[in-house]
Amino acid sequence: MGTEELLLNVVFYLFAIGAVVASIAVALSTNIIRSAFALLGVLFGVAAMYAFMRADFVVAAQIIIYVGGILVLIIFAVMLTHKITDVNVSNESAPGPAAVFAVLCVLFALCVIIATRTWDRSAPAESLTSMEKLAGDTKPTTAMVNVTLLQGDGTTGVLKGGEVRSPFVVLRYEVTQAPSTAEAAHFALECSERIENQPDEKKRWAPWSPVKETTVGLTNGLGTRDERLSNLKPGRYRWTASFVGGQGTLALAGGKPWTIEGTTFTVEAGLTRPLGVALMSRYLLPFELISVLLLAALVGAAYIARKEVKEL
Amino acid sequence: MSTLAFSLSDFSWSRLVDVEWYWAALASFVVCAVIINLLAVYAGLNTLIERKIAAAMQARVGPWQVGPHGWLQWAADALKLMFKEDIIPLQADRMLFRLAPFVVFGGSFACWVALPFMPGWSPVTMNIGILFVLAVSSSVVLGILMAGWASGSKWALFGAMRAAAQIVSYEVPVGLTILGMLLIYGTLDMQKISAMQESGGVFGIVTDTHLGIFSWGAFRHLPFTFIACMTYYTGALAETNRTPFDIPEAESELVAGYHTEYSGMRFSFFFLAEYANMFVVSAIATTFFLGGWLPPFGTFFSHVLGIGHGVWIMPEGLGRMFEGLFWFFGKSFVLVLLMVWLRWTLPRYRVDQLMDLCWKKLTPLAFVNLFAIGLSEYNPWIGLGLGVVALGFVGELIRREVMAPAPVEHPKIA
Amino acid sequence: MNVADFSFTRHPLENMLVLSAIIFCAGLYTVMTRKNAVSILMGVELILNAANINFVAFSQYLPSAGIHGGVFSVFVILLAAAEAAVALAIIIGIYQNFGRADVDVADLMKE
Repeated sequence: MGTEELLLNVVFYLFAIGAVVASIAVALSTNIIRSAFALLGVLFGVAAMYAFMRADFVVAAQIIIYVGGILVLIIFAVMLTHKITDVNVSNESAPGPAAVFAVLCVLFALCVIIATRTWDRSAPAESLTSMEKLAGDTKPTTAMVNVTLLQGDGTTGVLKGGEVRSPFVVLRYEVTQAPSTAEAAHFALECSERIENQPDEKKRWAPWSPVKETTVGLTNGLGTRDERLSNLKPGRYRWTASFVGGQGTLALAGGKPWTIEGTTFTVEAGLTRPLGVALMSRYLLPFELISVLLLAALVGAAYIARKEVKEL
Repeated sequence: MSTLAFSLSDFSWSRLVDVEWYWAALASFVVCAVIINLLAVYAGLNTLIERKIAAAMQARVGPWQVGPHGWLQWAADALKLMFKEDIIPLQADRMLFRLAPFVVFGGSFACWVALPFMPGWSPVTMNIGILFVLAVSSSVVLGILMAGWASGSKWALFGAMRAAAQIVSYEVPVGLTILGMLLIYGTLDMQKISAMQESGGVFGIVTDTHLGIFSWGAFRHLPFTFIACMTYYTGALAETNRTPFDIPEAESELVAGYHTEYSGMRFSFFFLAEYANMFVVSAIATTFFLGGWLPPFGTFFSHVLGIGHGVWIMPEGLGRMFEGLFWFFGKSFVLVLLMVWLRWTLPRYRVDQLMDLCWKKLTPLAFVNLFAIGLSEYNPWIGLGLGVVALGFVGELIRREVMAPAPVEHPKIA
Repeated sequence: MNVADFSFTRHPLENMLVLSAIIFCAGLYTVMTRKNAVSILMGVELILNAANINFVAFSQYLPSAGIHGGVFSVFVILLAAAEAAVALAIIIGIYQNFGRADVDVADLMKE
């Protein structure tokens, strides 16, 4: 088992089992303060799960709001609603066999659903308009880059570049006009990653492997094809597509490699920017409503919890 | 072993998944051990420096016996605390009593991994750097509540609740000022924030010009970022429970607050956590407002005197990384010394004055500041105009204070 | 050059969902059996966290699900904060009036 699988399993099971044990402690502990601090364990375990899934902003939001806000509030409420002496056995519960049975049934049903259902892990739908991509509506996972062959000698090409915000890229190339020969040619796709802090301009783009090479049969090679480059780490890349012509009958610019310079694209990891864009574009109304709701909750809670000034 | 032969700037935790698991574990262990030991020594030295500065300000010599002129006192203190008897009070909740110092300690020390120590290197590069620091340092509150409760005594509980209320309240102006600076920088990654302070400034009107100190965060949108710096630093003083906001640990008020019942090694955890927290908030102030690892007058050296490379004195490579480390540590340490200086200069705030300062003065100021920075990001000239107006306002306040008539002496009540 | 980052999708999605189901059931048990109002609130927080894990898991593991899960989980966290604040204020009010913070204590309208 490689290091990666081991690390994945260790991290997951460590925090997952911690969260489960802590949640059982919340449910079963007779001491309410221990119950509250076990909730701290659950919240940190859940935050660890978010970090495991690389939802970085949600980790920070969970810890700041849940642990630093809600849990502190709960503990203050516990301390304010109990006398200091009677906390040790203070959290009564009325467990009956019915409750245990009902909860076990629910758990069983959920596990059956999870085990039998197949989740759709396919690539996203192809109909991403550029407007939706820019607005961050869905996680943009396809770079709609069309390489359109206009002329056979390779001097021009129409390119639509875009920005990519996920660790993999699908370069879609569409061959709309074939050269005047039936021979297959290599379509080479090269992707370079920009290295920062290099004084030499030439050294700033390092070749990235694997370089995809596809044999395109150009007579029946019209249409769109996808090349998927995955596991890109965050950075700036540029791609070039070249046809390496064969010898002899292929009339491609003297058989030299014919290159279309792609545009550069940026791969950014993390949820922060897409989340921010989504909150400001598609989820703007809920965002504003929730800020009004928080204000109402703030004022309401402060009003309800105040001590009545007794008339003398 | 060849997989371990990389330079410091190439180090990244994600590389470790390519090597065998035992090398990965060893590398992780070494990095963590180095960090923790450096932190412990730093915190110990900080206690000694505080005592020496306190002594100097009070016209005495401070610790003098252990080591040359008392400079090994911190080691003696550490040894003494390690060997003290471990007392757990009878009425304490044993499990929580033991757990609390670790929660506080963990919260304060975990923030150190996100700090941008060298140009291009932090212990962990995170693209949510500052959010991580805010999140983890807000979990210190729970450790304090746990400690106060588990001690089983009234004084500890009151101290803990006051400390928790203070820390949670002062997170609001701290968060708002950081938010204002994030509007300028546009990223949460502290490495990039430090790098962005190399050039630009003056409300964003000039870009690509190296203005030295005036490209730093605190001077980019004068006076709003400067006000943000002051507000952040005040809030940070309150977050770390330093004077003038140290009601929770004031000896004359609550014995020792939430760590009254702790002795020996457990007490030392609280102590170390406080000093680590002081460094973290100073480091954040350095990163956001004082240029991070950038040297202050680099362009002066290179353009006027002809030595150095652009902004830097050292050429590219390991030398430059250590130069950045020197500047980062130096600036943070100056801010820590400022905290020590303030402790022995200013009297303590009362609890209600403290809360009043937070909610009625710092929070509205931080809001107005955020609004002004937002406007000046939108259009630099609006910012310039608002800055002039704000300076005029402050000048008017100062003028009124200076020209105020002398207070009338009230007749004594018999 | 191509560093294989910590690719969490190699770990099965079902594990995350089972974890969320277990936390949900623990929260459900807490809500059903406890007498203290603050304890019931803690159970509700467990349920909300379990649902949040599900939202984020589906959003991150399934590329066709988009970012909506992450956005919604942030909203759930915020709403939980607002709800906890008001609920705890009410509980403190009940304690001040009845002397105990149990859920069966406010029975003045019963015959």
